[in-house]
Amino acid sequence: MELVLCLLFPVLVVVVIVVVWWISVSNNFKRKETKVYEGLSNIEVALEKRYDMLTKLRDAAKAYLTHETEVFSKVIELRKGMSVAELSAADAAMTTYRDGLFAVAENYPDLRSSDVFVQLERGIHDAEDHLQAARRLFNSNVSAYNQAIIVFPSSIIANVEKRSQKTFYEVADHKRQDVEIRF
Amino acid sequence: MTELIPLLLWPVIRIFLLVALICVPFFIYFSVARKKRKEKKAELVDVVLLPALNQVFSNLHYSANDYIPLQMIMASKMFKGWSTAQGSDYIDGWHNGRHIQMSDVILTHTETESRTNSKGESETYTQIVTDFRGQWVVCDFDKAVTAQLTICAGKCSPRTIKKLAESSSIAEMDNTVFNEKYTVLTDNPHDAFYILTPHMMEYIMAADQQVRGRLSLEFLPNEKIHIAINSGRDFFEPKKIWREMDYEQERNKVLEEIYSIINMIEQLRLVDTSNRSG
Repeated sequence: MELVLCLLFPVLVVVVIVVVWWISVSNNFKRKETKVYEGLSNIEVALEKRYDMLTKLRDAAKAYLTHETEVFSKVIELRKGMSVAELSAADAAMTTYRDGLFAVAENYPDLRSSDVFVQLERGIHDAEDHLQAARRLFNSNVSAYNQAIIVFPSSIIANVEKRSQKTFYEVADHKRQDVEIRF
Repeated sequence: MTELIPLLLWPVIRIFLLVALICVPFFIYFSVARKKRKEKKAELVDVVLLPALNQVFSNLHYSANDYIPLQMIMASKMFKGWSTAQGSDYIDGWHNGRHIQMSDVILTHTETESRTNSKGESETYTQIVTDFRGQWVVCDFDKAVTAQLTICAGKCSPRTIKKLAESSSIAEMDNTVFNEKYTVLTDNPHDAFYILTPHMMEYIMAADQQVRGRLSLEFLPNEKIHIAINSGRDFFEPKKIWREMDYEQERNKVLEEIYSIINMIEQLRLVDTSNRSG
């Protein structure tokens, strides 16, 4: 009996250590994954802010740009729960739209110099700064998560839990493409 | 018996006289030097410092014996554990449309330690530890943050990080070199990435090389930036107190010290990011 206990005890200790380590690593994955989702949510918030500012700018510009109907006929889709690729595409579409709006506004000095336009332009720059920050924070969190799941021996648990690497948020180069934008 | 007392006291008196003979000249020297230093400082302020400061700042307010308001220093998380603040050469003025406040600041605390001496007896030692000595600058920063963002120079020891991070967490930035040089503390990592753009991190590292000392920064929700330069010395102090002051040389030295701060602020490109409150 004593011999069995003597043999069982080290095995039990090892099992307890492995279980504790497993739980700790698994929780670490979950914490890192939560941060990734938080980061994605920050991007959504920043994109919404940018979208709102662009909408306000478009409304303010409408009175001046009565002949520029093409600028206002475009569509940007933004909804909850978009994937990283969809968010990236919406981001690129907004950039294209903003560039188009600013390019057209260049021809209207009254619009460019109006207080509303100047304020909204600042607001758009600020929203873009926030978006850039959200993008970098998200990518930083994705990098930390991806590193955690590929490093041995944590990768064993990641494989058992069927965890895969997350996609980085990349600024898609959609500028040269024709994008359908609808507000 | 009465004759014995003077005989016994003679060696004591002789030692006392000897000590007095050695100490008195030192005491006189330091008293005169202190007085002379005060006179030289007053001369430096009137003839050199104020004209030089007026050349750099508009709406200038200068006070030789004051320093950055204590509540401003207390609001900062850059240095923890200090108990006494001192300072001098308080400057409050405007440069390039930017409100700047700066002064020399010394932050210290007292540490008491029990040690066992060679006889095996326990003795208590008290020493004053300097937490910061250098220049403290406060100026406008027009990007609004929701939480305090502190950037401490160097990789802090785990004990310091624990102390600093009592209410904040450490943010790892996406610049390896920057992470090696600084510890970023914040309640909101998004704010850290919002303020510390890739350019801003480069500017901070460039500004660090501009000043002679270790640079720590803090961005506050009231749109103010605190910059602490741990240079280990005071600015605007007369060096040669026994000689006639070379006004031109002192003026150049004063301007060099002011511009080292101004250039560092310019290096941070605070103006570039201004007027973007959202």
